[in-house]
Amino acid sequence: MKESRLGDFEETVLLLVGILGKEAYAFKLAEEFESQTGRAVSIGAIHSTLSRLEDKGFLTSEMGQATAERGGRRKRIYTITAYGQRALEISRDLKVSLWRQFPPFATDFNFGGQLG
Amino acid sequence: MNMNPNQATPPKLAQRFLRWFLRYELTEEVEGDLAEKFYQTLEEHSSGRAKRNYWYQVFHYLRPFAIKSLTSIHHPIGYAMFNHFAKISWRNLLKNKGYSLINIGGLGVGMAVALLIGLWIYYETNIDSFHQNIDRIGIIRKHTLFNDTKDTQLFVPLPLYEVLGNDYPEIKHITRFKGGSVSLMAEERKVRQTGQYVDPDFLDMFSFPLIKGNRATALNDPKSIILTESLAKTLFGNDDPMGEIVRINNEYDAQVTGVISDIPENSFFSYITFLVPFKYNLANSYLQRYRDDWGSNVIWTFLEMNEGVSMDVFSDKISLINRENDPTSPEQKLSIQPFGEFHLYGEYENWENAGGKIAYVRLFGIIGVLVLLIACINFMNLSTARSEKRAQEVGIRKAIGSLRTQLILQFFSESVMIALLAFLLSIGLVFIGLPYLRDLGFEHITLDVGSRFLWVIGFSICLITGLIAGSYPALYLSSFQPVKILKGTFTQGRGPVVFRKVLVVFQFVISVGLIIGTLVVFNQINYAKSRSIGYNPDNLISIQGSEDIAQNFNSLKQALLNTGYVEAVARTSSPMTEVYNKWSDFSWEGKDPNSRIALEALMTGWDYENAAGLTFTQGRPFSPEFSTDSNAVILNETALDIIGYDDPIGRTMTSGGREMTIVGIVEDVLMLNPFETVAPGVIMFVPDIANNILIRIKPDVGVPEALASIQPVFETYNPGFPFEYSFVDEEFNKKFAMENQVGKLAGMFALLAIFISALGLFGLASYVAERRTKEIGIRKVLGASVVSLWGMLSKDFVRLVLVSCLIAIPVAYYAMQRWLQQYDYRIELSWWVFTSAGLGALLITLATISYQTVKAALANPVKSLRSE
Repeated sequence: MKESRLGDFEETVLLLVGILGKEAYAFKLAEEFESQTGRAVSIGAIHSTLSRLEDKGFLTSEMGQATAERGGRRKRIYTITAYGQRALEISRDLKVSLWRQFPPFATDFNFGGQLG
Repeated sequence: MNMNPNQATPPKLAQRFLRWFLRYELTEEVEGDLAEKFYQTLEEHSSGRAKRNYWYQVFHYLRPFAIKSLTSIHHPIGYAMFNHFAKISWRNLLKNKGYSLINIGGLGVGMAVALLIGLWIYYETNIDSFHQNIDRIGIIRKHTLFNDTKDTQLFVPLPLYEVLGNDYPEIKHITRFKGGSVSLMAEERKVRQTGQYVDPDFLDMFSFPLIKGNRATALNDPKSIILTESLAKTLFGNDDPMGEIVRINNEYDAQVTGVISDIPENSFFSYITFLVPFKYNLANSYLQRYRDDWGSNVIWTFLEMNEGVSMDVFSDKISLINRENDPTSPEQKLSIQPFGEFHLYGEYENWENAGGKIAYVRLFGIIGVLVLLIACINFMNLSTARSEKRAQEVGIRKAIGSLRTQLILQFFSESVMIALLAFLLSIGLVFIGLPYLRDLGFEHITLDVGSRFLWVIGFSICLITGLIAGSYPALYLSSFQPVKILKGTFTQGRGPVVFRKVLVVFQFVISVGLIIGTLVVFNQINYAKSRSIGYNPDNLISIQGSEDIAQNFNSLKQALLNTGYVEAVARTSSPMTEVYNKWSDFSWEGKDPNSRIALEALMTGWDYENAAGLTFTQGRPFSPEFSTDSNAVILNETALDIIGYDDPIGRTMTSGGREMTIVGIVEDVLMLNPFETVAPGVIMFVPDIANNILIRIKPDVGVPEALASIQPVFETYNPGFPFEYSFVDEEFNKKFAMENQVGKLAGMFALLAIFISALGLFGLASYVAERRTKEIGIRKVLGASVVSLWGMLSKDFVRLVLVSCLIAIPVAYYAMQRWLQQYDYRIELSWWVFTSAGLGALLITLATISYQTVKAALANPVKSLRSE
């Protein structure tokens, strides 16, 4: 059975695919990743994750239009599947639920004082 | 977007690399993405940075998902071709299993011989090469003139050490070197061991690692001793031996000041188990007398030169030191032999180096190459003989467009592949064979599969063999003209047939030559073994003497005789198989005052003639009945010839100042080299010497019982030594060790050579029989008998072998005549050796080919003629 949970990097990439819509291909995703997170990433790393997400069934892809800046080569456009959408929601719901239980002020952390 | 044609483009090499490893289906999208990235970077930064980034991106595509599976990777140019060659070669091997077996088997045996010899040569040429300063170490040789013969020896006078060490700054280290076989006692344990008396420099010169103790001081105190690891274990078990006391010869105590690791087998010094300072030996032995004596040669001397000093030049510089100090012998000189040459170049003739073991290294090297060559010839012969079958293949390949170089490459890769298979076989053969060769000089040789040397040598042999063996078929087959082959008018010319015959003759010349050589060596050994040696070595035991034995000899002798197992006991100055003393101070009536003749001297008491079993031709042995016998002397026949007395009994001669009366003449006793004539010798009556005890056991009693009854006697009278003895006949036979070894090896290689040659003939014969099937069928139909057919098919081969014999016999005669020159006592080469070698080769040939020829002659002609 294929692994169906999402890693942190995978989740981010999946979200970016949703954000970029028709422009979601490896090069653009890498650019977007860098501008959104401020972290450098290689196109290969993004591509590798995309192909893994596709294997897991979270994404589908098809070849898109050729453009001049690519030397006339086509690009592979990725789209989120319903299953991918669902996985993102489960992940978001889990985190929201966790955040709800999180104490509102950090000063309540227990720094070795008496309990209760 | 600016698409200026002068604009930078992604680096070509990176693109090629990407295409090489990237899955084909990803190429378009990835290249597109990377190009976009490249041009974007180019707009913002320099072109160099864009290119670097491109490379960076390419390398980041080295991920499992993006890399091609192994099978679809682009191979280097020619991979497909070699793959194809390997496949075709393999199919050919399987298709002709018989020929493949003959080829691989023959080559494998040949390579095994070459490999064995290679390993042996490597071992022999690397003896002592582990000493770091080996290039600067030398050993002094003294060249003398006695009996008008120029001799060279290692023993030099004692004072030489002081002079060289004090007056010559060229010398970095120098050590005296004297062997000793002594008893060592520690607590309750006693052992007899062989070691060396050396100077402290010895440890600086030779690379023997000290496990315990201080290299610089270990040999400074005369009463110290260094043990090898295993001797330390024997004497002290697991206790720390450092500082313990070892009693030497039950006389002196020495303190253990160091432990060295056991000396490896590939060293001249491997027999050494302990080292004792030479000063100790000098103070406590007869050597004291020779301290300033330049005429007596008693020790060896090793030296190490300073860096930058030429050993040759220095050797000339010191050559006359001995002569200047010893006016009594004007004809002598010294020289230094580099220690690196000591093992292989140990023989001197007329004061010049005359080689030594290197001759055998060369001889076996040549034999190894020849045997390998014989095996290669099989391969060449069989593949050219069968080339007509392959001709079709060559024709079609050429018609399709094969280049000649490709065909040559194909046949070479085929032969190299067979060579590789044969090499694997040879490794197996050597592995199985080595344990059986221990007695033949291969006891130290191991097949170390992990050794890089082995594989480098192995693969070089493979490649060379493959190239030699494949050269003729490759060049010959590839030259066929496709039109002729495919039209069907192709027949082999006479060229290859003649060539094959030449090669077969060459094989048999070598085989017959080796057989003759083996026969001659064994004849020579048997001849020397069966010569009269002047005494009876059977049932004779030899035991080393000691101080205690000398003191108590008479009681010991009586106790031995009382056991009832012993016939006679005698004390001597040297064992039966060695000569310790050779003096030139004898004089007699009518001796030419200018002649410098040295006589071998043996000193003994009563009963020597009974113990040894001497034969008197004149006179009588020493006897207690004659009180004058304290000055009696017995001569051997050769000595009598030299002295020249017509009527020797009762005449006198002198040794030094001592006048002696000749009482008897004995047959020459062979004590040294059995291949040389016996030197003139005298037996002198000196009854207090007991270097050696000779015991003759009664012929009708069992040796084990006799030894069991002798042992307690020695333990009583010789408490400082373990009871150790040797049989004189065994010691005598050891003198043939080298010749025996050479003979057996030559015999083995001769057998293998003839085996491989026969294997090749077998293949050729089957080929010939196959080709002439139809001819034989027709002949049979027309009335030819089986015998005449057999004769017809065998005739060619027999003729070849006869030609080989005609060539081999004179060559072998010349070579063996030269080999025999080194022995004074040698056989005459007789015709039967040559005829029997030739006949043997002929019989083997007939036996080999008859299987095929008889089979062909017996075949039913109906079968061979039925179909066209």
